[in-house]
Amino acid sequence: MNLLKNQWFLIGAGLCGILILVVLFLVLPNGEVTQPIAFNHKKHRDNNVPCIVCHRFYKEEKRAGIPPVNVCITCHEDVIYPTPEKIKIQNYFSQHKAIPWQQVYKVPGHVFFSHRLHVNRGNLACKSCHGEVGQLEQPVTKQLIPLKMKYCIDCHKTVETIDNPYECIRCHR
Amino acid sequence: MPRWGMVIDLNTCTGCGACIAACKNENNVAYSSPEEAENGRALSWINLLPRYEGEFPNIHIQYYPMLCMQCDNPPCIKVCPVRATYKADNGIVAQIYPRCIGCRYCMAACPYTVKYFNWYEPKWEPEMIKSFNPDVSLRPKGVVEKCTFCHHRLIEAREEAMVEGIEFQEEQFVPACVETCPARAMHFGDLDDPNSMVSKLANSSRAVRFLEDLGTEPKVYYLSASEKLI
Ligand code: HEC
Ligand code: HEC
Ligand code: HEC
Ligand code: HEC
Ligand code: HEC
Repeated sequence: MNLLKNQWFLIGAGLCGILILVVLFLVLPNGEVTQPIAFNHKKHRDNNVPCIVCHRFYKEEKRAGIPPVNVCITCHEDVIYPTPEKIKIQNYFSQHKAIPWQQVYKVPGHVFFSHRLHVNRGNLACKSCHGEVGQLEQPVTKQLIPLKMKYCIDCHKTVETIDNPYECIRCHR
Repeated sequence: MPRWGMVIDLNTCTGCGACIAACKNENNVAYSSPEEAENGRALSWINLLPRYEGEFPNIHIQYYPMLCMQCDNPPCIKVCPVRATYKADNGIVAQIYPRCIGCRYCMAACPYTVKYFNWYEPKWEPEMIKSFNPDVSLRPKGVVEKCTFCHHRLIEAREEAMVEGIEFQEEQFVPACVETCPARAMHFGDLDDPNSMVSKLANSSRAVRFLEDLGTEPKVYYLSASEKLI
């Protein structure tokens, strides 16, 4: 018998196809990353740890810097109430391993971006580009505000000192 | 707004090729194999165009460093269907690589043939990967690239001046080839500033430009004793 003439076979195959698509949609990464430690920005903020303790470079360099483990260990060396997450930090430290944080905010190589310019001269708060990261109780796994080109230019249009916000080579290199 | 331009003194230029090497390193220009070069697919944003005069042994050789002329009236931008190449306010003819679709119309339109197509995935010797210039992006296969007057150096210099809160100075921006030239045959600066070295040289009687009758208004001037360019 010719299978392709059997309507039940065709319907079955179609349903299987849809099922596979649905499963793929759920399984494939949707732009979110997983972080190695359940880092809690809000808890540190509530304990009055300022951003610059961990993101040490945003005032002097173009990058902000994701903290290495020896920054964490300055406060988490002796643990009074150990939790699995804090133990993880000490394990990374004692094994001389870097915590494999996944960088979430990243511009492609053909774009120039500078933190010190925007933070010092532009006088911008972190949240104007990164959203309320300080209020997050989970690690950052996706961009709260998608930092697309339109977002950069829309803000530059409101800045008086920038004469032509559409000048491509202001940002592209 | 400055209007960036360059002056190359052909009487001082020895044709040593240091500008070519400096440019390749500065801009992460990919290296090509001999076969690729034979097919005319090698990438080099500066080339030495030689001219031989006379009979051996009384031969006179003149080299012309050819780079993007950063025309004030560039033919290449008029044919770009996606505006990936355009003239910026400061006169630099920009090439926005992610925007480029690789149609190569601009290469055909350029009378100086100083635009180059990436025929291959860029490749380097493994030892060289670490020596990339992080300030310049790597061009993928399938886009057109060319000399940018090292405008990434302008971005960096402007950012530094802005962060320090000082006025940006013309001297802070020098392309890699000009900086390297051991004979000091290359000069760079603002053509609109009457006090700058380049504007003085560009207005001197020795200054000539390539294919001036096409009306492209190149911003790369050559100082020549013979008054005539090929
Ligand atoms: C300036 C001191 C300081 C630094 C540096 C610091 N922390 Fe903390 N951290 C704290 C305080 C205070 C708390 C809240 C009290 C507690 O739970 O011990 C805390 C709590 C935590 C917790 C427990 C959160 C919870 O939900 O229970 C984790 C996990 C943690 N920190 C991870 C890190 C990591 C990872 C780093 C390095 C990137 C780091 N910390 C750097 C001060 C610091
Ligand atoms: C004008 C928008 C803007 C502002 C304001 C800003 N950032 Fe960023 N941030 C970015 C962009 C764009 C990136 C991606 C940079 C890259 O890929 O080089 C980024 C990346 C980061 C990163 C990860 C990569 C890195 O640079 O190390 C951290 C951490 C960060 N920002 C923290 C901060 C903090 C803290 C502040 C406040 C002091 C801040 N940012 C203010 C736009 C901004
Ligand atoms: C105790 C250290 C610590 C402090 C304080 C801290 N951060 Fe972070 N931050 C981290 C760590 C660790 C990560 C990477 C893990 C993650 O993504 O959650 C991170 C990630 C980020 C990122 C995402 C970077 C990326 O691209 O992956 C942003 C944005 C950021 N922080 C902003 C801030 C701001 C704004 C503040 C101040 C309100 C702040 N952080 C305070 C440790 C800290
Ligand atoms: C919330 C507003 C804001 C956002 C978002 C923003 N910028 Fe800016 N940007 C500024 C301000 C303010 C300045 C400083 C202008 C000045 O002082 O002249 C600036 C300056 C710059 C400059 C230097 C301008 C020059 O004249 O050379 C560059 C380059 C730049 N931004 C790139 C970016 C990029 C890339 C992004 C997106 C990832 C971005 N900016 C997002 C506000 C913003
Ligand atoms: C304020 C800075 C800024 C300016 C000005 C700017 N861009 Fe961008 N551009 C970006 C950033 C940041 C990205 C990367 C994020 C994204 O993909 O949106 C980008 C990405 C792109 C991309 C790649 C998009 C993709 O999906 O991969 C293209 C193409 C592009 N820009 C073209 C242009 C052109 C053409 C101009 C001039 C008309 C221009 N840009 C001006 C900041 C800028």
